[in-house]
Order: sequence, then C-alpha cells, then structure tokens
Amino acid sequence: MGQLPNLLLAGLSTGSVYALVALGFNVIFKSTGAINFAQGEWVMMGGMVAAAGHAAQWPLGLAVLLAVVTVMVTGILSERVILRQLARPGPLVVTLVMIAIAICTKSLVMLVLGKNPASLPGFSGSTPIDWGGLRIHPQTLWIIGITCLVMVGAHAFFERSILGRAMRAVAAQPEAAALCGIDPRMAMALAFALAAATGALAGAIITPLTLTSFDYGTVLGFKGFSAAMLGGMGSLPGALVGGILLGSLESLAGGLISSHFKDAVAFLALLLTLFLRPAGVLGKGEVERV
Amino acid sequence: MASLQIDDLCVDFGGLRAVNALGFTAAEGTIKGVIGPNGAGKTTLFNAISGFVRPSRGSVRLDGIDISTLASHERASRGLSRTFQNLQLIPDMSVLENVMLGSHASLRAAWGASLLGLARREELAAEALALEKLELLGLADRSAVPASDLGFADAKLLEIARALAGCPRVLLLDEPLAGVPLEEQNRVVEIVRAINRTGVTIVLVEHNMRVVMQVCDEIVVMHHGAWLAEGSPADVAQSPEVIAAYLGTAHGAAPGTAPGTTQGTAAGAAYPQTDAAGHGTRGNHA
Amino acid sequence: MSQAFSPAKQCERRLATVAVLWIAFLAWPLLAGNDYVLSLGVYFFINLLLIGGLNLLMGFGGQISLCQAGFFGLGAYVSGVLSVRAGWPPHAGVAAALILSTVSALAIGLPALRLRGNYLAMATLGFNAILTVLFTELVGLTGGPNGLSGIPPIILAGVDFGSPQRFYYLAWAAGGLCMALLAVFLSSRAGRALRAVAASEVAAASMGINAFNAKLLAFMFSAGAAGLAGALYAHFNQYASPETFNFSASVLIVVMVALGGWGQYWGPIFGAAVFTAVPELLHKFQDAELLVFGAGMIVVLLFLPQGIAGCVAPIATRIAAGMTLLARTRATRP
Ligand SMILES: Nc1ncnc2c1ncn2[C@@H]1O[C@H](COP(=O)(O)OP(=O)(O)OP(=O)(O)O)[C@@H](O)[C@H]1O
Ligand SMILES: [Mg+2]
Repeated sequence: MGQLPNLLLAGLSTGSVYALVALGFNVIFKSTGAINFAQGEWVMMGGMVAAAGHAAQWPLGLAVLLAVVTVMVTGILSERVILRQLARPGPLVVTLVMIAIAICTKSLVMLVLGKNPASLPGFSGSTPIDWGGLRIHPQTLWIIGITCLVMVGAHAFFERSILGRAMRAVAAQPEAAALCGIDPRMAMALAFALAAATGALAGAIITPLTLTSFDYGTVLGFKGFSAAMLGGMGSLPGALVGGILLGSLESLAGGLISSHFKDAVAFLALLLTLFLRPAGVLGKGEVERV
Repeated sequence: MASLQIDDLCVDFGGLRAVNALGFTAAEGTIKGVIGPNGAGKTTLFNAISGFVRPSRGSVRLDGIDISTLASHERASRGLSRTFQNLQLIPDMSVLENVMLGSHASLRAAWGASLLGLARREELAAEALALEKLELLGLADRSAVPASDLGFADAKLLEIARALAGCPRVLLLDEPLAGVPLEEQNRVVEIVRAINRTGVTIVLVEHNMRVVMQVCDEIVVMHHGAWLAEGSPADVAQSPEVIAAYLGTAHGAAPGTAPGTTQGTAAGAAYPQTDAAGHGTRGNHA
Repeated sequence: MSQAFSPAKQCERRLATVAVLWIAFLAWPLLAGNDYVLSLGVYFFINLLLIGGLNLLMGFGGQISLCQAGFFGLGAYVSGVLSVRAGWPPHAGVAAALILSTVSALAIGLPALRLRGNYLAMATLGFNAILTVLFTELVGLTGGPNGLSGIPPIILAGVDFGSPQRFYYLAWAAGGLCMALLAVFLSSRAGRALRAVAASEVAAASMGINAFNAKLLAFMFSAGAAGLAGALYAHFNQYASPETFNFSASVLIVVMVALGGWGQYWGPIFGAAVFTAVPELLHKFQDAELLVFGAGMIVVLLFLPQGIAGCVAPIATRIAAGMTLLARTRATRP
C-alpha cells in the first residue's frame, strides 16, 4: 500500500484536534467578537495537567478528567475575575486581555509543572493496528472518536438545548436576549467554560502522540485558529471541516514535500482564505469588506 | 451647486424591503424635505445615498453622474456630506479635531507629505476653517474638550459643523432637531437656511413638521419605504394619503408613531410631532 | 480650558519636549560606567522603534499586529545576510531592510486589512510563524538555529560605528527621528484620519477617509520602524539568532505597547524603558518575567487604560507648568 492513505489518516487525526481547538475559538468569537489567544494555552495546559496527574499515579481516565476540570475552572476564572472588570469590553480590548491571560497561563504552567516535555501513554496502548497495510496507532481512533462525540454533542447543545439556544440568542442580539430574561454574563461564562473544556480535552488526547510542553500552546492555538478561519469563523461545522482540511493539507505537505515547512502550510491556508474567501469554506459571507 | 437624483431605489434587509422603488430629485440649491412615520425608511435611504448600505436596485446621481458604485468615502470626497441620526463622532478626539476631520477630503496633502510635516500651511487653514464653523454653531468655546464631553444637543450641532467643514455640495441632515432643546431649535433652523443660501443643496429628514413646512422648498413623503406623495409643503399637507399614513387609517396604526407633544404647527394637528426619545435608539445602521 | 486647543501647537509642544528629552539622553554615555550599561541605552532606542511603530498601528489605528518581532528579524537578517553573504556595505543593507519590511507589510496588509475586524492579528501571527521557519530552515543563508554571526559594523562617512559609544548616537538619532515623525504625523490630516478610522469606520468614511489606506499606511510604518530596528540591532550586536524574533517576542512587544500607554504619544518611551530595564532587574528570577509582564498588562488594561504614560504625563505637565510659573515670578520680581 502506498504512503497516501497513511498520510491522510495522520492528517485526519491531527485535523480532529485542530477542529476541537477551532471549536473553542468559534464559541468565544461568537460571544465576544474577540480572538481568544488563550485557546492554545488551554490545550497545552490540558495535556500538561493530564500528564502530571498520570505521573502522580492517577488512573488515566481520572487524569484526563482532572485536566478538563482544572482548565475549565481556569477558563471560568479568566472570564469572571478578569474580563468582567472591563468597563467597555469591545473585541479589541478583549483580544488584548486574552493575550495577557495567555501569557500568564503559559508562565504559570511553566512555574508549577516545570519546563520538561511531558507525556501520556496511549489510552489503549501504543501497539499499531495493522489493517490491510494501513498502520493505525490506537490513539488515532480515540482522537477521531472523541472528536466526533464532542462535535455531535456541541451540535445538539447549540441546536436543541435551552441553554445552548440562549447562548446563541445572546451572541446574535445581546439586548433582545436580555429582554427575554437571559443573563448575558451567564452565557459568557458558559462560553468560556465550554471553550476551555474542549481545549483541555484536545490537549489530553493528542499528548500520547506528540508529547507536550509549556511552550506548545502557541503553535496549537495558531493551527486551531487557521482551521477556524478556513472553515468559517463562528461556524460549528466549519470548525470540523476546517480542522480536517488543514490537518490533511499539513500531513500531505509534510509527507510529500518537506517536514521542515509543514508549519508554513497553515499560514498559507490562512492567507489564501483571507484573500479568496474571508468568510471561510462554510461561512455565509458575513465578513464585511471596507 | 449640485443636484441629487434618486431613481427606482430599493434596499432589502433579508425579507424586509426598507426602501421600495423610491425616486425623487433634489434640485440644485434647494431644500428637500423627506418625511414619513418612524420606520418609513428615511435613514436607510440616507445610508443608501451615502453608500453605507448596498441598494438591491436603482441609482443615485450627483449632478447627473451615477455614484451608486462608489465606496462611501469616495462619495464623501465628491461633496456629498451627511449627519447621523444616531451620532457618529470620534469620542476621544477634541471637538476642534472632529470638525477638522470634516475637511479631510478637501485637503490635498498626500499621506507621505503629512508624515514629513510638509503641509503646515494647509493644516493651519483647516484649523481656522474648523474654528469658523464652530463659531457658526456656537461651539467655539468648547473646541478643546473631547467630543464625548458634549451633551446630546451640542453633539448634534458638532455633527453639522463637521459636515460643513467639508464644504459639501449636497448635505443630508438626518433629524438635526431631535434632542435639541426648543429654545435652540430656531438657531439650528437659521443655520440650515444660511447653509442653503450659500448654494448647498440640502436633503432634510425631520419629524418636527412646523420646521419642515417652514424651510423646505419641496417635500417627499415616504411610507413603508415607498414614495407616497411629493410636492410643495402646502400640497403635501393637504394630501389625504399623507394624513391617512400619519394617522394610520390606511394601513392600520404604524408602530412607533405615538402622538407626541402637539405644538401649534403650520400644517395643523394632522402630523403628530414625535419627541426625540423615539429616535436614535437603533444601532449603527451601516 | 481657557486656552484654545490647536493640533499644530500640540505638535510643536511635543517636538520641543522630544528635543529637550533627547538632549538629556546625550548624557547617558557619560553616566554609564561601562559598555554593558551603555548598550542598554542602545537597546532602549531599538525597543523604542519597535514599540513606537506598533503603537501607531495598535494604539492609534486600532489594529493588532503580531509580527512586530518578525519584521524586526526580517530587518536584522536582510541587512545581516546581505553584508555577510553578499558583501554589501552595511548602510545599503539597512536601507534594504527598511524597504523590504515595509513592502512585506504591504503584501500582508492588502488582503488582511480589506476586512473589517481584527483579521490582521491573525495574518501577522501566521507571517511571524513563517518568518521563524525561514530564519531557522534556510541554514545556508541565515546560519539556521545557530544564528548568523560575523555581521560587520556600520561605517558611515568614514566613521566606524563599531563601538557602543559611537553606535549609541546612531540609535539615539533613529529613536529621536521616529518620535519626531510620530508627533508630526499624529497632528496631521493623515494622523487624524487614522484615529478616526480606529474609533468609527462609518464616521471616517462619511468624511471621505479611505479606511483601508489609513490602516495600510500605519501598518507599513510600523513594519518599517521594526525593520530599521532590526538592521540596527544586527550591526550593533554583530549577531542574530531566530529565537529573538519569534511569536513570543511579538506578543511581548504588544504587551509593552499596552503597558506604556496604548494610543498615548509618550507611551512607547515608557514601554521601551520597561522592556529594557525589567529583564535586567529580574535577572535572578528570569522564569517569572513572563508572568510579571502578563499580569502587568492585565492590570493596565483593567485599571489604567492609558498605561504608564497616562499616569505620568499629567504629573509631568503639572511640574512643567509649575516650573514655568516659578520662572515667570522670578523674572518679574524686581
Ligand atoms: N441594518 C438593518 N437591518 C435590518 N433592518 C433594518 C436595518 N436598518 C433599518 N432596518 C429596518 O428598516 C426599516 C426602516 O428603518 P429606518 O431607520 O430607515 O427608518 P426611519 O424612517 O429612519 O425611522 P425613524 O423616523 O425612526 O428614524 C425599519 O423597519 C428598520 O427596522
Ligand atoms: Mg431614521
């Protein structure tokens, strides 16, 4: 069997993680209009905390849960303690505050958990499954499975549940939603909790394949953002499509051209999106040109 | 100086047709009133004329030249100025600089030249012109404060001063009297007249019927986005369709046209005079 | 508020204050006991170019660039590589660095600034990422992760600027020039236009301002200032390595703009002072540096929206006013 299916499979698994990160970006973009620079740090933190939990002899599942809860609390605190103090929370200021929060998160993780790269064992070991010439790392299946679950769950949440609909209402029309008795601050806190939790989960499931370290967050955040842009900022299916598209492109470029310039793919994809289709592959053209 | 000609203009917001096949002409040097109940589409019309919303059909001509494909800043540099119902000032800039902004298009210094400070004389002239306009509107003593320190009425006057600093050929005024205290309204009316006397064509949207009847040469009435009537103030005041539209007998009560304070008006009590509180609450339309 | 406000006067006042400050800065080489302390002065001016340029774009134009360190590196490597590998005279390399960084800003800005919103932040983030890849991977040109060494010092009109003493004056002049240009620009037609665009693109457009041009110009200025800073840095340090110019460095420059005073004319002076001095003061606690900067930025954004400059400037104005009053009363005394 050729190289191509293996490359595509690898692309699918990193792409799934990008999709989860993109989902976090989208949720916060919708509710604040800001670009959440802390998203990548939350992913990194998820991996680091899960690894620390595992190193402290916690069962794997519990370590992952610990990571998700810790990061979720961090996300909620960032919103409650810091963002809520802003007198005029416009997108630009919120973006700047999120940059500052990202810096603080990164350096706190470094100070508390150290500078060494950390690892996690695969959730079902790491013996590759050979499937007709396709060599599959079992973690790949975990990643794809969990991403599918989260995406379906998020879709159901935003389309079906009262809470999810309330959040969409606040994002679309804050004043009108407030008049209907929805507390916009509750929606905001929920957005941060969701974004942080999906970020942490993404970090925890990718760590068995890639390791993690306190300075991995920036790159992951950038990839996730590129995926979000590619799919369409603010669109849920866009996150999935953008993530998988970017993951596959990267994997193909790395395998067929040169692994050195793999990181440049995301940038090129981003620039092309800005040039050709600023609303993204699935966006509906709501980006305004001046 | 210049005429403004609207033809078959339509603006759609999703399923809502806010301006519907509207056409009229504001002849050179005249004051054209545009009236209609709340939500009739007057502000949307202004937004389409100045290029802030894209019409789905129709054309806007300035002096016979079609400007519908131009960007809003290009229209402004051709001498089409406007004020905003909901105010568009730069809050943390001084009052003086806000007015100087108005003359942006008429200054010629290239970007590079201003970077190197080669346009000092032009700058000083712009400053003097801005002060002159502020004096005209009685704001000269507040030139140093940030625009955000002005009250609503003064802020409205500041918008007019800024629009004037561009030496416009056509000026669109969106409810210049809303929120201006009664005792100052006459001054604003006088200023509008004075501007017009210098040859500027004015399109005036205003709910104060007494003023509209007094100052306009011609009036066009809008209802649900469409042309309802047009003519001299006296003709329009007597038109049964117009009276019906305002009182809501033709199409059922139009929402938002709560009868306000009724002052003695030239047009009679047929026109409910809405107060300022009813306007300017909607967000930025552009 | 009795005295009338005038942008032209404001510009003159700023220029006069810059002149006084810069004359005072001439004393630094005399005060600095050794070359190391003297070189901190050089870095102050280099940082001033970086932060001052970005403040124009971010503070006055309302657009975030996360590639300031990338343009800084582009300037350093363009000038460094041209003089090391191609044998160009260093001053020609500096000019090339200035031009290339400005032109690449044009290329990024053209698509990204056409969109309303903060898309520039992400385009520049990506550009910084790609520049870092290039600096590291083009080993033949840049020396790769080991860095580019042996960059020759600047020689201008027969004067060798190789020693910190001499180089200080070069950096001093570049920093002063940048502040003077900013003062003139901000009270000009174009500067007003930029500030208007940041506050309301609708208002700006209704005045005939082309928002796209205004933002693009500010972005090109900020990149050009960074490119110049990079070229100066490379020839002063005679060495450049990729990690100086990575995304984290760009973020730190953004932090410094906010700390110094976002959209404040004097902000970059304070930002550059903090950026130069704090790492020295925290030398023993290097790991805490990021946390200090991040927390400082949060405090500033929440409680001091005008940054350090916003706190210091009113005091300085009062002192200056007091001194002129004092001088006047002395003069009138018989
Ligand atoms: N950006 C927009 N999106 C959707 N609908 C809009 C938008 N702007 C205006 N409308 C709708 O278009 C209609 C016309 O509004 P417009 O503001 O033009 O009325 P108006 O005549 O200026 O009213 P008023 O006298 O209250 O100022 C209204 O129904 C309004 O809700
Ligand atoms: Mg209106």
